[in-house]
Amino acid sequence: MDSILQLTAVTKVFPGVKALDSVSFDVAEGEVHSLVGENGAGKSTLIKILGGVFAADSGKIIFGNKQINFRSTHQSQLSGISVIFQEFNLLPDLSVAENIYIGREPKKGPFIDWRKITADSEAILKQLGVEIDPKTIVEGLSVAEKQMVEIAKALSFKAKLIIMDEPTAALSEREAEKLFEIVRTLKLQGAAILFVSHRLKEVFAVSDRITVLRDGRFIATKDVRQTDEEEIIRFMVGRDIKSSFAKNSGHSQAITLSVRNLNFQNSLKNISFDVRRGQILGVAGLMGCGKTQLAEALYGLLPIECGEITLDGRQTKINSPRKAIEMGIGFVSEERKENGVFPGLSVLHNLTITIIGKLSGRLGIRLNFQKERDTLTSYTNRLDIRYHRPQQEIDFLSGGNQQKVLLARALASDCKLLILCEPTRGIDVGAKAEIHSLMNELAKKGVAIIMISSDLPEVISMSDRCITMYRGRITGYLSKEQMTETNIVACAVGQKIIGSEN
Amino acid sequence: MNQQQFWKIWERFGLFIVIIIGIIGLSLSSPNFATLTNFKNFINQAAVVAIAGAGMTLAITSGGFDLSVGSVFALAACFGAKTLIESPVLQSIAVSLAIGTGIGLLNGLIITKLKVPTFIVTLAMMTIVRGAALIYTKGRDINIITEPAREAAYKFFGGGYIFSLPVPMVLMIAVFVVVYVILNHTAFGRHICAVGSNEQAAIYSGLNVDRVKIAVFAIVGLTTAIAAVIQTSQLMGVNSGTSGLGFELQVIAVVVLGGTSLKGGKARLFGTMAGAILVAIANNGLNLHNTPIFYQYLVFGIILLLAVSMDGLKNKFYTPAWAWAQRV
Repeated sequence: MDSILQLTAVTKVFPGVKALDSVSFDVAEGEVHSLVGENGAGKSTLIKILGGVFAADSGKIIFGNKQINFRSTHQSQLSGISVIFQEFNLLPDLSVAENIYIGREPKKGPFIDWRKITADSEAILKQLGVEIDPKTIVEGLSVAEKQMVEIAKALSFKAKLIIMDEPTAALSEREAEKLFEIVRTLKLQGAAILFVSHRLKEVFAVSDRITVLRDGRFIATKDVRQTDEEEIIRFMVGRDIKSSFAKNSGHSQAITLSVRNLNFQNSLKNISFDVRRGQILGVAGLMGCGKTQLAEALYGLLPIECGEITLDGRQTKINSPRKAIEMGIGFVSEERKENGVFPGLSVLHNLTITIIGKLSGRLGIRLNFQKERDTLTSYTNRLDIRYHRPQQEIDFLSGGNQQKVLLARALASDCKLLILCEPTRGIDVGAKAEIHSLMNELAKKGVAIIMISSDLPEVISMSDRCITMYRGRITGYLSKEQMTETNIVACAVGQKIIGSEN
Repeated sequence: MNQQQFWKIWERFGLFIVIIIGIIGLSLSSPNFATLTNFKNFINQAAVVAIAGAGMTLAITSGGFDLSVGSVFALAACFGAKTLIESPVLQSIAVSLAIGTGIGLLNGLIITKLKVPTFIVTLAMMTIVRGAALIYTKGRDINIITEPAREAAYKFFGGGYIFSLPVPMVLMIAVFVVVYVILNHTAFGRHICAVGSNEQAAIYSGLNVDRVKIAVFAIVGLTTAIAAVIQTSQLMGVNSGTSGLGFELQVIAVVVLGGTSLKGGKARLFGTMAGAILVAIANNGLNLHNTPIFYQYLVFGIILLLAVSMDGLKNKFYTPAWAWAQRV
């Protein structure tokens, strides 16, 4: 079969990271080709290059019979590539038909030819076998239906290659099944599909060939009939790292937090686990698996539908972060900018905001500035936070130092349970090591730590125990001995289920 | 002096320098400027705007603003004036302050509990309260004519002296001291800045964001009512249709002029006072030179634009290199 897309030695470098390192593979006409890899493997970068968001630094891309180097997303669309990103590019207030033909509406003189736009949209939707009225306003559609509209839009461009980025991430199983049917229909009609997904089961169900990327490099392309999930996982993980020797796993210690049958909408299903005093519990899982929601639920940010949370032996209901802090739960969000930092406020005020209420004297006035300064000084020394003076605005600190301030803020209110979401994402190696050693020190002092992380080596080296999540469920309870990258990835893609919590 | 130094000085003292230049200029150009009567005139005018501005500074620092202050001003004045005709001075003042605080509370409650945008709530409240004032007075002027002793006592708030300082000025300083203490010496003040800087992070830090906002709007209402009492006492009457008309924009403008960021999080409390004084001096100067009152609008707008443009220029030229590195 002829190939429609051929990549040769495509490379893309961002400051400090080689996102794609000489990647070569090809997609044949009329095939469903899956692209898999861990977070940070380079899948998104590759898609964005094909979609015209970035230009490649070097390498050759041949699409159809022409060498291409897109300067804009528009060029990419015109040449016959359509990318369906995870976040849809639909205008919520317009109708389905208007969205499909946005920017190139059929016209009658100066006016939009409404009859044609509706008829054409209807024809495309019918071709997909979808029942959506083209006059519906997009906002009222479900996620799955919006995705169909995006696919219809791609077809209206007469796309020869349709790229789908994690298309099932937000779909229910039934909706996903429907999507696969459409993928097969498209294939029969002659379009090539590049299907990007974490979920190996789906990948095997839908594709002809699979390409694995790891750390920006091409690893292998395999025909689905000549491989299995085990092999693909091995390709994705690559390294044969043995888990490091067990630390004090704190098994004899008392249970700090016990969660039973926690549920929240579609994102948390029957979550049960324990964390003990002085234990570091790693939570691993791919994007959209529900690990962030789990952290938020424990910190009172989500209205939990049912389930029991027991803290230090007492059953509790946590319905706000304020309550969580009172009960001794500290939290560091993965979104440092959105949920953490107070821009424009000083380092000092950023650090002490959670405890400032306790530093005031009678009538709420006369803050104890001395004690506030002492708090800052003690955390500055403990965490080695670097800044010019306490009044310096936090905006001007490096990411690592900002993260340390946020960690200090959580610690300042004396927590016995610390929830850390991606504690070392996007910070430099030195700060990372310091944060890790602080976590160990805290655990030694009896703090229970839940660490949510997408960084597998971090999960393996830091955790005493680890749970993995897949589609809102816990699929693995791994002891230190069972914590290998292969096991974690297998559980995180829903291929294996290990252990349970009684 | 290089550019960096210039902007650094401008950031700290710009407004004060302009005020001093204005005072010197007017003293030289008009023999009536540097007199005690005139000083009293413009400080009284400045105090009314500055006091409401102190409350508004808190609102803007918390990331909001209040468009209803002009109407609240009118309603507090109308109720206060009517009460005074029948009842003692303290009762009249209590009524005014209660109305201001009450409407502020209501603003805050609607914004936080019903989750309606601040702009819409305070805009709606602006017309509702104005309407209420007109209905209450049937659109007629209220002239305060009552027992002479009571009249004299009420006049004290707008025209009296404490240790030979005009009472409005003393009240202004008192209000600013209290608000200064709130901002810098209470946990509540810290919470205001935090909410204005990043509301989401404030929630994650366990702050009671709703309570902070409600309290801030109540304070805006209270300071507006204090301003209304002072002016009613100066005029010894009130017109429900024109009282406080456009006051909300004047107050917001003075806060911005003073350097408080509309983005929230950073207060320049004494800048607000300086802004109010600067505007009062400019108006006073125009009066002394017999310029028609209409020009005051023009000059006020120009001052505001100039001040904000200077701020824009400052941000363009006076941003340390290491700050840019972070903004990529």
